Amino acid sequence: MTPFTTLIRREWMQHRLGWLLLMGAPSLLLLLLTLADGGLTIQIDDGAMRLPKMQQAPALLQTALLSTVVAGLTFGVALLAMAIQLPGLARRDQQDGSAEFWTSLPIGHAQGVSALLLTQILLLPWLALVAGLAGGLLVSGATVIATHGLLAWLQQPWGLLGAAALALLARVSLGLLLAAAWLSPLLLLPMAASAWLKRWGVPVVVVAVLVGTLLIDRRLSAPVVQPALQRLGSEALQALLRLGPLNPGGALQDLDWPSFLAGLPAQLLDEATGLVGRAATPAFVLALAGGALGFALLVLRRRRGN
Amino acid sequence: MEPLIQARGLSLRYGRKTALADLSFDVPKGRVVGLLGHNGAGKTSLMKALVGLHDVEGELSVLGLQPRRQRVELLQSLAYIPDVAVLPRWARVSQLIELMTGLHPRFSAERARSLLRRTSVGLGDQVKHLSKGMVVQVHLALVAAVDARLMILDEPTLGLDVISRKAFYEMLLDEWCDGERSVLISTHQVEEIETLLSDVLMLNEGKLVLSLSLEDIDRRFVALAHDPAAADAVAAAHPLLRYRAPGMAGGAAALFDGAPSAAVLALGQRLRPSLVDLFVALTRQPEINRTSGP
Repeated sequence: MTPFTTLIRREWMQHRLGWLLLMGAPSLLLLLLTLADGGLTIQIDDGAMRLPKMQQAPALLQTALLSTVVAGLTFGVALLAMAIQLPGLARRDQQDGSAEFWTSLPIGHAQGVSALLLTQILLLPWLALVAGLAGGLLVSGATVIATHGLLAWLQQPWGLLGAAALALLARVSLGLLLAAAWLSPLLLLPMAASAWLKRWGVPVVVVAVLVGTLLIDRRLSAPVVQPALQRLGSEALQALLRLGPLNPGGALQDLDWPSFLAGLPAQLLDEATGLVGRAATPAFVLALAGGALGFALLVLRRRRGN
Repeated sequence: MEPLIQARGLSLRYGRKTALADLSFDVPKGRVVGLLGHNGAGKTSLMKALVGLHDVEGELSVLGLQPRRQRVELLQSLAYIPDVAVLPRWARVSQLIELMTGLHPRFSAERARSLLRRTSVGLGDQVKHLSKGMVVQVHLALVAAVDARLMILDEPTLGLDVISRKAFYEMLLDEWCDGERSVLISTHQVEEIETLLSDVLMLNEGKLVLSLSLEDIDRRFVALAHDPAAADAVAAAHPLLRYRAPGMAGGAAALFDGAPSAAVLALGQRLRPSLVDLFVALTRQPEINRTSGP
């Protein structure tokens, strides 16, 4: 194991209980809800895509939809948890008194920060996505077996489902990477503020944002702060959630699911190409620069000691 | 042969406060060096500078490397215990061994396990459930399993009971000191480590007031036990320190830098100067303590 992978392993050792809960709880909850409830009624996109009661739906629809919902929910919970706890992670070693132990080891400051960020911002949500897909398989499997029988579950077009799941995983992974890059100033600068200003870090960032949007923007002929924040947020949401090919429109039970699933990987790939194209803008470079500033401040804090 | 640590004109400032002032010293290989000083004397600042955690002025070479610029490379050949109880509380001992294996290229997991078998600590124990003494033993076992040339210990036994301190020093001597590797250890328990040391560095308000081997200390400093009746005559010879010496002839003693005249020596019985008395003498002496003014 290299020092970098060991540092990633350290994250797992330290946070595995929380991670396992984050990754397992949504699947478990939905499994209980799906089996206990008479059926789920979900409306997406203002009713453009209509769902039947889940227990009346065809087996393939149950499998595809429940897997996607569970994966999306687990992924979303992990993203939310990451965003909430990230500022606090900047000072976790000071808080548990182990900072001096880590600085006594032959680890570069940048290496230590990189391993922490990579694991918490990218690896944790990605693992949650994979765990969500696996959990979705479990939830959908239980539902299909309960409503259509074991044979129906075994006769699913697993090749098509697997290819679609892999394509979706690849698409969301790319989206995660791009969303993290777009949001890097909003993730890393509060973290750096927390590292430098301790408990005042996050409040100072909040005040700075309020001052920027409520005072500075109003004095400028063309507002800067609020549009910039909106752009970062909307680009990140686009990267993560703009999954057009997943929304075929109309009543889902009437859809030709085998054809839809067969065409999904190509459509997702096509959309991913467009997504990368959106990143080729000065705004993206500025976002990366903001993230790099946050990273540099975190490294500098470690270098200057505690 | 190049010393393991070489410092020339080393200074360190925190804003306007001077933590270390113009230190120059060497630490050759195979030595056990005690770093002594009162609280705030600059011991921790010096140790952090030695492992590359502080910017310093002057010249500093540790194992032939510049600590601040080559910290990661330096820490591959240097074992450092910064303080007691700094091991992550969430970790199990086995996890620490696993982490050290991946993070330290000169760490031997087998040796760490072997050292830990001699303690009451189990591999499955979680740090937060161990006593302070046990945590220190685990930490020492971890760093003693690093094939390093130099070990730096900053108050490693602070707050430990006497049994834990004894166990720590036994483990240090038995398992690490081999005549080739050097140890720099700072502590307040001067009496306890006196017998372990080969050399002493003494800091007072950021200044190095003594850098000598114990043999040279014995040669240079003279302690004289004397009768109270001879106190005035002894005081007239300007000793560094006059102190009570219970159990000695006369019950009084004086410490001299250099042998006093034969007439003064004839007033009492020559003793081996203790490190504690020397520490008190050198860190209380007005002309050495003077840090400002003309």
